[in-house]
Amino acid sequence: MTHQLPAGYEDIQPYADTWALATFSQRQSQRLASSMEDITAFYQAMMPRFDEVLTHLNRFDLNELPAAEQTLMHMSLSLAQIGPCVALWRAPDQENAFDAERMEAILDD
Amino acid sequence: MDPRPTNLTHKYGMSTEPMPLEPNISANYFEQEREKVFTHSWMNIGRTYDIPNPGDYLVKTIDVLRTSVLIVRGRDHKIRAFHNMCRHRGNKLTAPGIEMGSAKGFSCAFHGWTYDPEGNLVVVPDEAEFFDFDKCDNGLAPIECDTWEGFIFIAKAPKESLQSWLGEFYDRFEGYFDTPDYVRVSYYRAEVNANWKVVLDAFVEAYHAPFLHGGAYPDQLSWEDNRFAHLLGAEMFERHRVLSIEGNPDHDPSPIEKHLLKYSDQVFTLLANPEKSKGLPKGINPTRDDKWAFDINVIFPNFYIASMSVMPLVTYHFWPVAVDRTVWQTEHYMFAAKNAGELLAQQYSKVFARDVQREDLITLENTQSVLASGAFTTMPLSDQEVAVRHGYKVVEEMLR
Repeated sequence: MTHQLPAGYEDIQPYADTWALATFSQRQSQRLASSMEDITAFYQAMMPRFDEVLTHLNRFDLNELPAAEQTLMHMSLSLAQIGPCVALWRAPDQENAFDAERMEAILDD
Repeated sequence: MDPRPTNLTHKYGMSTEPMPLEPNISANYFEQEREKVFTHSWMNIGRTYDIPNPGDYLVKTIDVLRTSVLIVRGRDHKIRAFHNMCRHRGNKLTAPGIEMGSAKGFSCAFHGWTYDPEGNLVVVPDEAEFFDFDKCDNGLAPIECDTWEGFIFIAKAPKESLQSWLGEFYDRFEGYFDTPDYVRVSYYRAEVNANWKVVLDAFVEAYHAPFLHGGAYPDQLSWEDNRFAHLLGAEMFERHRVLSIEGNPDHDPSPIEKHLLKYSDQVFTLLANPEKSKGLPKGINPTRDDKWAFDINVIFPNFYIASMSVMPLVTYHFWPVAVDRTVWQTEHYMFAAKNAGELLAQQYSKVFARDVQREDLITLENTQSVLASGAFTTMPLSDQEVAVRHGYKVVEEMLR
């Protein structure tokens, strides 16, 4: 599997293929293309593991993450991408907002 | 009694009359702004830390000056700015889309004329065929360039030095922003169909926050003690202006925000942060209030520095393109992420800020689309919108 998570994260493994995305624009596109049901399911799977995930990842040098940890990092960054959808907008995108695609992310990391 | 400042419009000697809409819809007014404001203004185009080594360069299109600017650090380490235009037939020296890079020199793709990093013309192929020609007299056309607080400024035809232009701001930050430790972690740009002042105005008052951003900031800017997000402080200078905004000390963070704040002390949110509001230069949290969340420093005409209690530096630029078009640009700077938790907080900041600002930008386009309807020709402004009014006053005085 290309998006293998470290051992102990089998519960969130099913979300890896969809949400382990390497760039900001990929994560934004995934968010905008997802239903609120899918976003909520991912959020609810990730949030209870938040402390464990970060405690685990914080043990590594950010620039030398092993492949499985890199996948976990990319999933966490997707959690940041959909965080406001669940906490604030209650939708994949805000109503009546400037088109996200028109805001060019010059640093697409 | 409300301790927050009142009667600001009178204090700064401004009329309380409604302001005309004409400056935001008139093509003639825009042309006057181009000639009398932007041609003589110092404008920020980047950070000195973007071009640390000799040969490093930035390219910036400045529509309102009808040019592209090439900013280069020379072999003598001095930063210089030039019109990005070959002396020969006027071609741009850099390829389309290039915004930064490093080079030993600049070679025109048209006929191979080549300039060194200090702007001198060094190669003209088949030079003997030209008439009475001396390379020494045909270098790139310089543009005035100077630096302050780690920011590079350029001016096409300045009437005063950068130090004089910055005036009250010049020594206000005591080097706070002049450090390579602030790393650019977020950088967005959008072309917005609205006048540059309409865009800027949305970022220099907090009155709109409880309404437009009521979903994004459910309790941060508007709460029982400050329902209408009244300003914590405001100072109107000759051209520039400062606002200080307070945050709700009892803000209830969302679950994800709460988690992030455990792993990073830099998150784009609005927080009263008493620990981080002390021991700062005089220009950061100028009111010295524990409830301070952030300052808005507008450096006339189109540059805006925000320092926040939760992160050191956010910048905005408002680049006029046409009377009803503006390139809006925002950048976040934070200390480099040392671990996954800090990286996640940076990413959340980047996402959250984008979402909030999309609420501003759509509103500005909606506004511009009806401004010329003729239904109204003026806008009444409240005392809390003193910085909006001040902006129009400064432009108006320069056009006279």
